Amino acid sequence: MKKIVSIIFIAMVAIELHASLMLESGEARLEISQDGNRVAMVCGDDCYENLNAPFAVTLEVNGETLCGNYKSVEKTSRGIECRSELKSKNGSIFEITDIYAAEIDNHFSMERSVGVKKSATGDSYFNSYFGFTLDRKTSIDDFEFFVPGIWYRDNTSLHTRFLAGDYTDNYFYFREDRLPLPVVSAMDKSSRLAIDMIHVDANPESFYGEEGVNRIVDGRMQFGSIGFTETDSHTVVFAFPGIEGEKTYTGRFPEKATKGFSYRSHPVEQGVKHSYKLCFGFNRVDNYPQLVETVWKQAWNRYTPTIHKVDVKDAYNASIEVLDAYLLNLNGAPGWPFSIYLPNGIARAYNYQMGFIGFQISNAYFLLRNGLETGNDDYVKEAEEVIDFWVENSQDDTGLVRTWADAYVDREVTWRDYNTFMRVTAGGMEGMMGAWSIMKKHGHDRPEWLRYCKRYADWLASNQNSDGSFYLRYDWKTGEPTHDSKYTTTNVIRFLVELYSATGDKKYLDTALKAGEYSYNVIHHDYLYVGGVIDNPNVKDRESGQMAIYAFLALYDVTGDSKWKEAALQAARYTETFMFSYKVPMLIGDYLTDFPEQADVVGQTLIATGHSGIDNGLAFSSFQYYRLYLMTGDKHLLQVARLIQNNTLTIMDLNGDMGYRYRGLLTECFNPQANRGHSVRQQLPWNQASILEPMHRFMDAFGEWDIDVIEQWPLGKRIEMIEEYAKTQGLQHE
Amino acid sequence: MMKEIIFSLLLVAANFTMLAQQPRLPQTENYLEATGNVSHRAIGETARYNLLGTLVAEDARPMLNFPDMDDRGTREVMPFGYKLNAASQVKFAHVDGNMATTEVRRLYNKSVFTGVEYALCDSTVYGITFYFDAQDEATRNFATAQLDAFFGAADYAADSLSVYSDADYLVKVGDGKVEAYSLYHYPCVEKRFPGVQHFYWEAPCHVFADGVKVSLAFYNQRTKENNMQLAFRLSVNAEKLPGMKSIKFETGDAAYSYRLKSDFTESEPDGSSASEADMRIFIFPEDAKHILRSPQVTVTIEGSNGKVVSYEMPPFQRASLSTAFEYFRWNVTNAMAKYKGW
Repeated sequence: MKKIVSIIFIAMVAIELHASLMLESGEARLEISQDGNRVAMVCGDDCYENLNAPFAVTLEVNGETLCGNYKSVEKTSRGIECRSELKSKNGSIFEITDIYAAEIDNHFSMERSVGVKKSATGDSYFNSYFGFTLDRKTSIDDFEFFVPGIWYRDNTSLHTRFLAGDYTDNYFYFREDRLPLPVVSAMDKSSRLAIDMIHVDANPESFYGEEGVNRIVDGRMQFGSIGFTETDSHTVVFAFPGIEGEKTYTGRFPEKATKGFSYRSHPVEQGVKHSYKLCFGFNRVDNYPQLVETVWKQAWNRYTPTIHKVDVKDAYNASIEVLDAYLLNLNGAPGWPFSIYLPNGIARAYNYQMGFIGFQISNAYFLLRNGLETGNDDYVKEAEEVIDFWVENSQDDTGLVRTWADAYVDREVTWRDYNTFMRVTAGGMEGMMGAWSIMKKHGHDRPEWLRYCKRYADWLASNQNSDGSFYLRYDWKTGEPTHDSKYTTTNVIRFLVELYSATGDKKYLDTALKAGEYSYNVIHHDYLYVGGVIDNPNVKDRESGQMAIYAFLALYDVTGDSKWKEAALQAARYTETFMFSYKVPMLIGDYLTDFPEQADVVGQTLIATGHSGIDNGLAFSSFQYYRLYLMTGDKHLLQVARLIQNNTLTIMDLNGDMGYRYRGLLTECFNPQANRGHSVRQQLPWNQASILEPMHRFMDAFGEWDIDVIEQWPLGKRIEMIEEYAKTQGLQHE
Repeated sequence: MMKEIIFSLLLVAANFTMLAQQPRLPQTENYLEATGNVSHRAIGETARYNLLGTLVAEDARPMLNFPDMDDRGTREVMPFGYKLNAASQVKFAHVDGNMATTEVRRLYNKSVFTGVEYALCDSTVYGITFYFDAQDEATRNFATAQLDAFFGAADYAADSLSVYSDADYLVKVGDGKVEAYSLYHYPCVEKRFPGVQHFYWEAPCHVFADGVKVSLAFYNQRTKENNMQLAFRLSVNAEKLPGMKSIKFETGDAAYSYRLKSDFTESEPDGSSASEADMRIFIFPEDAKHILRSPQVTVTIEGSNGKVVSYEMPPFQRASLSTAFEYFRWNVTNAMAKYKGW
């Protein structure tokens, strides 16, 4: 009898010791065993256990894993407080404190601090890890992933050398300073249950010289990396400081290896700052686009990015000044320099691309309009010369156009063999529509300008593929396609709709609708915004998202069919995830940045997958985001629109601090990760167009360009104005 | 009973720290070996070399003699720009990469100086130092009188240092030595950052005025696609940190003002002085040209509490600006020419 009682007593003790403390949030719960060796997160049928189970805490010291359990687990006013002490084989002692708390909507948080209690000889560096592993066997193909600016759904249209591009990798760790927000998520395709992790209150400091793949050990690095491990199990993981791999953009691997890690660690020294707060949990979603919208907004709301208010009118005037200053007519070929060195403003070369990065015709439209509206006849004449140059020289008998010219001081203009891209012609033709319309509005009819557009549109209609698509590019000498990608079909849709609005010719609407159907079925349906950045490989990028927004919004305007609105919204939700929405500070010790002191990266956007270059290119789309806000009432979209309208202008030199030749100049492309704040130190014509183009659309719709002013008007009035705009796209009728 | 006790002890869940080698994917070990070595990279790698000398024809080797003084010893020395070769029999006191100083060599002709030492870069003479007894006031007075005659006047004098300069030379008369440099042959300091090159044209001299030490060096910044910019860096050392706000260059008819920021600050442990530096202030080439046209340029540095210092720009600082401007002109892409490399 006594034996039986003893055994029962012992069993009860054992059960008691293995009992867990629990936090609940929505339908999810977080369990931490009292014996400190298990942390589990459960939602529905899915159970995620702590990384490296059965050990609750994971460090890496001198490249060797050091794991252990919590030695105390107790409930406090702050949540569940867990403490551990790990000793390395050399004798260093690390004290770890993790405080777990319940958040809203199936989420929890963990606040960690790691202290070096004793530093032993032989221990130089360490990292800490935190994460959860799903407790069943999985394959990477079971999931669709969301990592802002890097991974959308799967690795379609990503090169194997890109981050997340190679599905033979097992580790997918991404430095958070190259992410627009430090958040990752993965959705189980069958259950539609998604796990996510956010680094809360991240301040990814680093120092000048922190680059390359070799391990750097320095306490000044305060950025983490966040991502997944995908073997036959699925793990979401955070590493601190941020080790990146098995692909990285920080440098090349030795001996031309294609996989590896870029190592960053903290020194095993007392007093090193090693702490972070993570939020993680679940979302149940209906589909992948909803995942992106939900997770992005959750992370956004954690950071509430700051809007740096800019005098929009001043930015406009400064931009016109730049257009005036640099326009030259070289032997009958007028235009703006392809690039301008900064800060001294010396033009590098005069060659002209119609659209995309050249934006010659659109810039002429902006100068023309300013001249007409202010009575500056010189501006009008000079801008007309630019437009006439393109009309008279760039189009062949078929209507196809050549898009890139070189101007010389000593001879006539020549045209490059450069293929005709849909992307380039879209920008050029929209500029031509604007120029024709503003002239007509002021009583000057230039039918040849409209004819230029019609002839090109006729060529599009005749060469449209049977599925409604257009190819990426065509040989302007032969008219034959030279690439089989169809993802830039969206690029010409808005132009076709604008032409239809101006002419009433249904042929252009039909062409646009056919292209729209293709785009809807392929690009929208497959969530594949690809190829819009034509000087990058044909990959997922931000500009394809922007072109899709314009296309679908234009089709919605002209048809009223809500499917186009939904498609525009999906593209907008995708595109904004390329925008830096938290502050990535400039590097300690770097006095060579090209970033204004009063500005930060918030509002600037990654350009494409495959690298971490950023620019102000989302400036083009403030009008569309504002429209989508009016259409949906989603205040998040209003915030995005205001951010875009203001923050993208902060890299101009409006207050003269940068020492630029003209205040309206701005640099083309930055790097937010390595050599943060360093840029290409040149302005391209598209930079000016990115400032001016949305302003003109705001003026056409509202007669005002500042969102903050427009927002003060009654909602009904604003909606009425935008609906009026939608009928005509702000254009005159033929 | 004992078995139950042992069993129960075994059943007790005890928390203890463990060392564990968590199974890791094999490739991680390979990666560690490949890229896990600790890197101690320095940023801002520096090189010194006679950049201007490399821009002329290879066999030209422009040379410059020591300023003309009424002293035969100063006429026998190797001129600035003289390049040693395999037949040279000069012994070195210090060698540091491509920089060297010779031992103090005797003078064969009648001289007030006791010896001469050379500073070389890439075996080319850029500095010449004559030595004399530091207690010998007569020699010092002789030297300063000769230099007053040659240069017209000293740029300034501070404690025991007198500084002379013109477009060609910088000469410092200090305790027991007359140190001279050719501003043409003085090594250009090239600093390399990721994607950025700086070429500094500086002479080893500050300006002392009103108790403030000012170091002002003009340089060229070169970045990709032949983007050449003009800039300068400024360092101010004073008893207290001035909180630099602006610097102004005044010619007779114009003033060029630039906002300053503190990139670096440093204080002496004993609180005797403190330094601030702004490492990059851009200047337009036409502004540089206009400043250079003026025979006199007043430099004024304003701090958070008002004027920090004001002085006439000495020739050695003008030489720095002049060289930076000329180097810019020789390398800048013409505004309207088609860039062949594009």
